[in-house]
Amino acid sequence: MGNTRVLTHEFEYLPTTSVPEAIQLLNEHGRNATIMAGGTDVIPQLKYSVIAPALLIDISKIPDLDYIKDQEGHLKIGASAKLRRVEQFCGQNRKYACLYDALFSIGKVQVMNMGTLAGNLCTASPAADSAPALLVLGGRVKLVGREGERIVDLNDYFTGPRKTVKAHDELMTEIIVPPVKEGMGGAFTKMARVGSDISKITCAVAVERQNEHCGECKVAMGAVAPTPVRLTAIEKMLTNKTIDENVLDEAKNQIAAYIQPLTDVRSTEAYRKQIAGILFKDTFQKAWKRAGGEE
Amino acid sequence: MEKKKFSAVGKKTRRKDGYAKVTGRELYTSDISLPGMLHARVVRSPYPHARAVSVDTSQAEQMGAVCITYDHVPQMLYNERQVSIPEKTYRDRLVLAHKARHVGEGVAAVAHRTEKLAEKAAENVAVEWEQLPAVFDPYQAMQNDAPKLYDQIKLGEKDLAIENNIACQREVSEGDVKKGFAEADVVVEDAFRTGRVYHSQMETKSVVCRPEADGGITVWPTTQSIHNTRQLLGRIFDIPLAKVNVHRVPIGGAFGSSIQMNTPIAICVALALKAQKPVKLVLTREEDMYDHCKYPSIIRLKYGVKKDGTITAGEMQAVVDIGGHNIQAYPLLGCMTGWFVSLYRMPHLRFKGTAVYTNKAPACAMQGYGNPQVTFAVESMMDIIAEQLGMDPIDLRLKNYVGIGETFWGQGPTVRSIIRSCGVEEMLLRGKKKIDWDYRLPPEKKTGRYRRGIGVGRGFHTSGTGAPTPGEVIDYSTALVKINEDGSVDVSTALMCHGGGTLEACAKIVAEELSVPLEKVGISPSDTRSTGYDVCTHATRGVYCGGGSVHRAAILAKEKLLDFAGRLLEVNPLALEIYSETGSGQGIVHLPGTLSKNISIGEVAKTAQLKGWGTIFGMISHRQVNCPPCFVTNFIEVEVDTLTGIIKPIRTVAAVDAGTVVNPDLAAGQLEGGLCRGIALALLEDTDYDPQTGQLTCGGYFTDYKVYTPVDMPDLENVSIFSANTHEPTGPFGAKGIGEAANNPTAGAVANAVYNAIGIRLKEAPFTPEKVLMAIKDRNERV
Repeated sequence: MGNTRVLTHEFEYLPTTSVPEAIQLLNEHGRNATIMAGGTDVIPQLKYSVIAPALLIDISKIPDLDYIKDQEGHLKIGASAKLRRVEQFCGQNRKYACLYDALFSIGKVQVMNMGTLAGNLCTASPAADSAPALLVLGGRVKLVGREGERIVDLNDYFTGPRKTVKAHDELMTEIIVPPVKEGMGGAFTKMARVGSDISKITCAVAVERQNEHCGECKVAMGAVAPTPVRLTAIEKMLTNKTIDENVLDEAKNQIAAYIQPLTDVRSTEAYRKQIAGILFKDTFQKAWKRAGGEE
Repeated sequence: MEKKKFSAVGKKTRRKDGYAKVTGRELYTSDISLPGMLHARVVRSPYPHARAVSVDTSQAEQMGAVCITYDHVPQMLYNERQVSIPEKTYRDRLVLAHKARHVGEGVAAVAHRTEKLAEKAAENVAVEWEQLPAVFDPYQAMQNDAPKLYDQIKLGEKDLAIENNIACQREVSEGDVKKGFAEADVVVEDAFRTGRVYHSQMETKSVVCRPEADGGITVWPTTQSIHNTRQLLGRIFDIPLAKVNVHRVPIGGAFGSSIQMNTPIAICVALALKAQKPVKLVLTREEDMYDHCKYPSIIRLKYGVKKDGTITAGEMQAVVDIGGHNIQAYPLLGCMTGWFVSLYRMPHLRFKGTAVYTNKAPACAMQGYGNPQVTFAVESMMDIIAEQLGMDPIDLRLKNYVGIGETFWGQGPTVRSIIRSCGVEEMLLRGKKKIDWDYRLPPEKKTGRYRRGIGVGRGFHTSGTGAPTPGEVIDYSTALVKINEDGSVDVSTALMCHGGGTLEACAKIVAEELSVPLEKVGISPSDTRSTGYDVCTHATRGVYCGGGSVHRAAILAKEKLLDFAGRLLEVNPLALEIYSETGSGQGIVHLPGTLSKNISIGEVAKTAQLKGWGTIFGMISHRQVNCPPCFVTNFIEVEVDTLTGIIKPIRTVAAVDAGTVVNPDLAAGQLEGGLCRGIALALLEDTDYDPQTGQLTCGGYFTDYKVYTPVDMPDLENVSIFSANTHEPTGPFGAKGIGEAANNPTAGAVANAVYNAIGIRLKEAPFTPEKVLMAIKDRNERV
């Protein structure tokens, strides 16, 4: 039995105020250090005894990382910007409707006020709500280490459940969403047991529409594989096609073949496979409407 | 029906504890801190069935902890619930167990200066376990070769051997069912299941105990009954009751889970007595989730019906998986009979209930005490029967419901009284209009992906467990109403408020009777030394039974008040009346028709003090001789997504017949809360166990044990609430109960709505999307 009331594990808490300082601490303490941005994942993991770091480096107080800005069409979100602010920003920009849907689906006010987008991506749960949305938006992350910084495409970022290409001594400092083309529409949908919950299954779609013709199309799902996944085979079935019920149904019927869901406390493998196509079709239609300015 | 204008009863008012609660100033058990107080943690079994061969606390003691094991607690089997008479009380547990019968059962406990030190000390208690085979399914548990949880327990003072893990059984029959079924034109039979729902009360079970210099103890627990807690602690620890004082502490919800004295209370007392220092024990959420849950049920129902809808016979068989301890299964089975027989009239009936031990968290009462489970089955069957007969489900219900003038025995065979107020027909007919029942289409007329359906469910609960003859259940309350020297009033009772406004209702009843403004009526803090016995705030008895005794105490105080006023005004007291004067905020005693003959209540009380006449008070211990049903009717519209199996409640009409409604907005809140939990019983909640480890699959965390919140409920404008226009002649100002009734009809209404939407009868709650989609697929393959 866990103990979510009393945290007996002892650790040192170090709030940092700059990125170089955080990176230096990471290098000094190696795997004994854990980064905390909002604490909405780290604290429960400490309580469940999943992690037991000697040092907790709090980056939420780094003023340089608390930003959301539009730089020549690139959306840039600092690692300590709270989810609530990102959600509000996306809510005012139709082109990020898909990311807005994903953040809105988290639902819990306390989590939104404390958690961060970078934290969601660093925890890298296969069910992370923001991941499919960022995948279809072509999101990238900036990782900073002793040697300098690198930009990683999210397509190459996740490697397994709670595993990513980020080295332990690297700090994620920024999430970048490249310019969204005119005529693109996006949507995200989630199935869960209740309104505020970890997902059973999620789907995000970004689609470029000219009348009934589909240009670019991106599809991603969560909680159906060891990582959040892009479904490129499905995307190919739709890209440069005229969209009608038949095309959509064909894509819908193929989805189960491209995912590997598990049975867990939230749902079953069979159910996830049965509804993945339905969820995809619903999400696509929502994105399609948005792309056509119908919503 | 008596129609009266009230000044306090039935008014929407700001509740007295409201400010403290919303500003965080209310003090709950976990807020209590005493000088020199230690903090406790419990060492618990990680196995569902295991014997603690040895417990070594030496390391924890070296760390400075005070430790106890099962060797240091009184070796007396006890039952944590003290509501039934002793001969009907099954005793199977010790303060700390030698043998754990479910994951999370305590075998040792430690206390230290801080909770963290205590937790570390607990981690250093070494337990050598001998694992035993475990059983999780009640039917498997009844097999001859199943692992045995118990050899022998106590029933009252007698030894009781336990065979095939059957904790207790109950059979009730009236008339001749064979004959009844033979008279029927149609016989229907089916089986229904409900889940093992966790109470999810906000506050986890907590307790503070201070050992006193005279050998006594003072206790601040989470409880629904301070007096039962006191008596049980006195018995277990062999302390005279005069030295055991239990305080009433505001409780963060209970839903029935603190009718019994929760397990941490006795553990904390044992630690405090050993340490000779105050000790505090607050359960973690995961400990709490391994401590109690709703009784899950498997119910087989059979009805015989004539073509015109008259029920000729009914038979119910219930199997209840009670988990590792028998908290109150025997009275539960009696009540399940009562819920069954008191919904619809049956000339011939038979009930057989079996409660079975398994290696899971012990089940106990939870909002309805078997009633939501039984009513789910019965209300589902009513719709099944109506369809077979080609009758409107509402007509079938109107034809057979147990109503005014009939014998009602909701609380089981020993608690019988006559129904004197009944709003069943009014609620069905008004509700039917509100939900547009007559426009309801049959399922076969519905097409498309999203299909909507409307369902009805009736239900009731008893207002307490009173009856003309004393049965197996104790039911009375004691109240003291005292008029202060400024005209304000103190109300003293051991009743609890679980959040629903029971004490608020008591204050209104007193204000009404004495014509004193509500602000001038205070609810006194309460402990067992300064109050008379009150059985427990359970069984929806707070307003009717507890409020009934408060009302009688107020009447006695009023007699004395008028007597004193009569002396001062030189008027026959019987001619005096009281009215509430808004300007002075005083109750004024006056002789109607005169201007000069009046005096404020404060002046009477003050003069009585100065003249040495004494304090004006009324005190009474009172048992209600009736047990009136509070009826509730739910109409629910759901939308089923036939591609995903997701069911959403869209619109509801919830009607209550609680007699005179004392707290209208709190009553509406009860109905909304009952709906929410009832819908969750139908669609969502269950605690699932891993058969390999015996642990909860959700781990005891709310991360994976879900309850509905407002976002999952229909929008408020689609929740319509109304009360029937009734008056209960035996209740305080015509009032009956409401609490549990609010929850009882809901799951059945949901099941009937789902059937009306998609034509599939779901019988195993919760109807998760996974189950619903499978049912739709099975149906489509059959068609």
